[in-house]
Amino acid sequence: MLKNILSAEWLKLKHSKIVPITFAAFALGPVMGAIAMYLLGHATNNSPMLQKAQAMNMSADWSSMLNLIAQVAGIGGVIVFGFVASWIFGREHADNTTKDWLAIPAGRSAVVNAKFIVYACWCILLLLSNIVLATVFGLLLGLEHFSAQAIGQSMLHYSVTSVLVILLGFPVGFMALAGKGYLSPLGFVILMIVTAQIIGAIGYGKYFPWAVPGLYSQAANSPMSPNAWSYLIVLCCGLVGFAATHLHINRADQS
Amino acid sequence: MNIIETNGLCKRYGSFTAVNNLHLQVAEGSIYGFLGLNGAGKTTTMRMLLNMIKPNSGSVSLFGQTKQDHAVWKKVGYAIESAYAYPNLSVHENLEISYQYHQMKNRSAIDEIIGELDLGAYVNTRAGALSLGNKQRLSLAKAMLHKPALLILDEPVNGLDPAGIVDIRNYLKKLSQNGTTILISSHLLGEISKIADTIGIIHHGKMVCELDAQKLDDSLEKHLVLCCSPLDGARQLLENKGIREVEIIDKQIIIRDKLWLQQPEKLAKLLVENSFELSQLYTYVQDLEHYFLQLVNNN
Repeated sequence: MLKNILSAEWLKLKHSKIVPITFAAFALGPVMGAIAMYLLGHATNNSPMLQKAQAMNMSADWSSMLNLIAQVAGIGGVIVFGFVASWIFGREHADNTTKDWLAIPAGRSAVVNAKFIVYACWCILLLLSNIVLATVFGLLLGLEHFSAQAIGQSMLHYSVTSVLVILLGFPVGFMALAGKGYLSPLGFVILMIVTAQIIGAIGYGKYFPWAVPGLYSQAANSPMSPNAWSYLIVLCCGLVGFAATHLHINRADQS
Repeated sequence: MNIIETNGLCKRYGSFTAVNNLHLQVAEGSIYGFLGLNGAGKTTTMRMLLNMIKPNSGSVSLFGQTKQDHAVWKKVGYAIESAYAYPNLSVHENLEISYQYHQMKNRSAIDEIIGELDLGAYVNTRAGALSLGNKQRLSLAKAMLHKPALLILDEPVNGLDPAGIVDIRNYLKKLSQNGTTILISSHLLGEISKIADTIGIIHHGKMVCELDAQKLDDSLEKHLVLCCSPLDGARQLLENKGIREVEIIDKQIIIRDKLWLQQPEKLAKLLVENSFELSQLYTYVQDLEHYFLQLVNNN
């Protein structure tokens, strides 16, 4: 049953311009990272860039490159994945096609589940594409200090960041269905990013879900770093978004 | 057996009552025309039938089941409100999505419905580039793809040209003859009366009346209209001959006597033989739309 619905959801992506646009937008991270690595590799001893990079504990090597794309995932991912979730769940209302799947044998929950699966797969593909790009750029730039242990640690860091950001897209899906279109979820994402900045600035970022991936991806062992509660809050946020989406589509009037 | 049955269906939005105590019964294999002005409550009722919105009170039964499970939706096809489709996908791809939604196994069904609804020339055309009429055909194709036993269609001929309307009408008649139950809404009584077996008229959320389509003709007002001179003399003659319900309105003689409605030629002969100058004689039959509006206004 879910297989059929998933086929339908994948088909909806066909010919869509949004798919390449999200890949292009997300690819800006590794491109900027490659430029930064190149400039770091060619910086003179007293250049301001080198001083700033040293302050950030960065150098022109594999570890820095991968940490940089983790930060892109942690911060840029909130925007790009939020956009992806808004499109997957909100376009149906914009195209007036939601009613197509409100009275079907598979049930509405199957369609919502399929949408979340497509959302997660799309995000994972975006994340993988950045790894591929970062690897290609790293090889082209001849980055130093390639060690399996360091790469493994960076990949773990990247993966955890990715999971945290993907979870934050679930409430966006709910906003798109409840708000009947793209505007509400996009507004919600922007509001959450702004709020995350404010809450982060006053030192409570680790308790605000939309600030947690950014803080984690920076991985500074400061008092600002996320703790177990932070991850639990993000997980709960994702679960609440998932449950709210199902409740809304099954219980609320779909007029 | 009634395929659709509602009991005291009500839907309120704040102080506004969209549907008020609606009792609807649609028999198996019949075409039920659901008629009403815009905002009368037709679409709200159809959405309640499809469980898209919840009634405040009352119940809906489809195929004898008040709680619709997945097996019921397998037997239902619908097209609600305006024509809709995924604009970036082709006609075939849009139908492919409906195919997957209904977990169908027979891929040739897509080509069959494309042929039946005359969409062959647009198979690879993006739905967003279709004309309104062809979008409407695509919506119908999606609703009918899985050959449902019950079709719920909300104003399905909107946007179609006259040839398209005739095609769809004939197609729906054919489906009905093959046992499909159809609930079709419209604000056009003339169109509905051509295909429906029963017509329900809804106004301000209430069922105003339910008519057997065959008896609809009897419900329409009919009278003879006569133009002749001298007018008063002709009226006197007709009344002397025992013709009832004769009156003069706007320099015309109106005769409502049912006996004479059947024999206008005898009336003409009578007047000519008595040297009246007869310039016009015709039977007026009330326009269906006029009848509909009159019913609605009376309520």
